[in-house]
Parts: sequence; C-alpha cells; structure tokens
Amino acid sequence: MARTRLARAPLLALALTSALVAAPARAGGDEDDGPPITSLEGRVGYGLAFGGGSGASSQRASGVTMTALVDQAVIEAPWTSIFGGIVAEGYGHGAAGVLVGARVRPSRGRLRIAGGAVGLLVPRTLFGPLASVGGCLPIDGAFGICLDLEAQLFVTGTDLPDERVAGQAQAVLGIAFDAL
Amino acid sequence: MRCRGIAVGLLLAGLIAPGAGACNDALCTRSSECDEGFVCTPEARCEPAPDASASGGVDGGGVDAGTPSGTPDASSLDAGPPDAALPDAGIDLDADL
Repeated sequence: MARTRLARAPLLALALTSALVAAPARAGGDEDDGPPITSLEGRVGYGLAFGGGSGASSQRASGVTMTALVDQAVIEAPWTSIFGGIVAEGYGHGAAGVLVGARVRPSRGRLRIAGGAVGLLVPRTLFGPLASVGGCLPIDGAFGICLDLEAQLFVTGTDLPDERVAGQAQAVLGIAFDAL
Repeated sequence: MRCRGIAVGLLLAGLIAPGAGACNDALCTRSSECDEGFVCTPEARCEPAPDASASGGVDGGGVDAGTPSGTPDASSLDAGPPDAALPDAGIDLDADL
C-alpha cells in the first residue's frame, strides 16, 4: 500500500503542476496584482537522480533537496527576476551549496520558467546548470504555494565518478512569501 | 519500486526520456550516495575508496615512476656540463701556450 502511494506521488505532482500552469490561461485578465517584486521561498524537492557518460547509465530515487531562495524582479516586460539561495540535500546523502538563476513569467501570471546554475560545495563539489518550469498559486495574503518541475545537471565536481555526469529531475514544492 | 514510480511520473512530465536507463536504486550516480569510505565508480557501483591504496599506489606509483624517468635526465644534464667544460678548458690552455 505504501509503495502504491509512493508511486502515485509523482503523478499527483504532475497533475498539480499542470493545474498551476494552466491557471493563468483560465484566469486571464483577472490577474492584476502580477508577480511579486521581491519574494522569499522555501522549497522541498524529490524525484529521480540519474548518471551517465562512460560506463553504465543509472537512475535511482534522488535525495530530498531543500532550498531557500530570494527572488528579485529586475525587468517588467517580460516579467523577469533573478534569484539566489542556498540548497541542502538530505535523506540518503548530505550536501550543501548555492544556486543562482533567472526566472521569466511570460504572461505576468503563475507560469514561471527558470534557468540557472547550482553548485554543491560540501562535503564534495558538484556544479552545473538547472532549468525548471512551474507556477505559484496565492493561498493567503502574501503567501503562495508553488510547484515546479526542476532538472539539474552536474557536469563537474569532485563528487562525480571519472568521465561521468549526473543530474536529477525533481518535483519541487515551495511556500513563497511576497515580501514586496 | 519507488524509483520506478518516480521515473514514470517524470517521464510523463517530459523531464526524462524513455529508456534513459534502467531504474535501479542499487546503482549510484554520485560518490556521496555511497557509504562512508566508498566511491561511485564509472560502472555506477559503490566500491571501497582507493584512498589508502591509491595514495600509496597512485601517488607512490607516480613518484616512483616519475623519479626514475626524471633521474637519468637530470644525471645526464649534470654529467653534461663537466664534459663540455673539459674541452673548453683544454682549448683555452692550448691557446695560451
């Protein structure tokens, strides 16, 4: 029974993400507040880790990734923000590092597309790009719940086996606080 | 089973490609997924870290291998100047006489 629930979890995450992303299209002109200028976000991600390159390719359940982000809008049209924060991994293995990037909200709505870079610094290093797509739904005042599908690719670092790359694809659930 | 469930979800989301690799929690993608003292190999297996043997084997092997190949070069260079110096000294002496 527990296994069935676990197997259904990513499907549920997919459905929720689709609902969030579809929301701006349905809401249409009702969106007048627009995205926050400055927001803080705490996130938890879980999904699949993969490795490839020389030798055998591998896929396995990823660790749990926890992230704290600060997001600052910098361009109004299209609504673009830059973000930075700290990331920690647990459940299976521990690691900590930083990530930076930029997000675009094409219609000033809930859909957001991000690209950036992540660097895990301790206990071993990993560096590479990241990309995500998802959305946020206001839940109460300045707070919102966010769900993103995020992929990270680690191309260099001391945590990688020789001549291999690794990465992870995760569903990331977040709580955002609209600071400004 | 957990890995496969996640893989199906991500596959449907388009985040991974079909047949990107067999889903197996026993395989590693990074060394930090292995137990203490183990590292992830290119074969995606956790194997004992070669620290003890490698620091003696790799470093020692490198130094051992490097030293002999470097030593003849150094000794030949060292031997060179005296050989070159003797004729010069002889020529100079002959010229003076």
